[in-house]
Amino acid sequence: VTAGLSRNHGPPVSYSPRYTRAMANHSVTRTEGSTARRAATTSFSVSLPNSLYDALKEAVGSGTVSSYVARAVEDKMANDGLEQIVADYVARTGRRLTEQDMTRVDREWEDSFAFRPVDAEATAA
Amino acid sequence: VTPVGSVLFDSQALRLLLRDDPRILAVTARAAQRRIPLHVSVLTVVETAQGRGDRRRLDWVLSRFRRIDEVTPADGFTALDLLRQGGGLSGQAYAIDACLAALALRLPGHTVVYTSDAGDWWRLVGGRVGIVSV
Repeated sequence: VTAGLSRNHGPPVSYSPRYTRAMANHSVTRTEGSTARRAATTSFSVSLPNSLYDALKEAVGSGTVSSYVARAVEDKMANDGLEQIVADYVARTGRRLTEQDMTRVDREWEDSFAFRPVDAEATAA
Repeated sequence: VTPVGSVLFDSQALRLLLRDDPRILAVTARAAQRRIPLHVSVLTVVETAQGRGDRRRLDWVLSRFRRIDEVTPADGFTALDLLRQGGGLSGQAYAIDACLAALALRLPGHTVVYTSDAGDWWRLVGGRVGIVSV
């Protein structure tokens, strides 16, 4: 972050060397209570249109702006990452995904909740 | 129509993504379009990475995911219950699937899992998550 004003380095996080190498750019998500692990943080200022700031404060509710924004940025970057995977595929192969491909995915998702194995025992075996 | 909140890949789905499988890439593209988070667990990463494979490609793809889901102690106990409810399933493969199933149950919204073990998943969490066979 180039606009950093102050940095707060949280408690050291211990990873195995191999894990560190492979996962240097990842965070580990926790969707339920677990042992405390605070990431190092950087404080910086951003400018938002007044209307967006008001909407942000309302959306944050009893939470904190920092955690709300951090989550939103993380989600956006993860989503951008998926787009990059697809863009990389198109760039390397020259093949494009069609609307037909997308529609097939929609159908898969819709049918997935009605999935019944033809023969669960045979499949499991 | 059940609104999908999360998509989870098992190791075979992740392998297919690494191999540029058009069907799995379409899933990735649709998830991005709809802003639906795509999840892989750390167990899936280990399953996928072991043996042969392009480690650099794996690292690059995972770096795009940004997040790798961990399996928590609570997931482990949920997995035990799922195995018992599934008719006493046992064995290492079932144990990993059960942990992933526990993760799938706690992801936001309705979860769709892409798996090569659709029958096992059905026995573990049939009707509670969407199952797509790969």
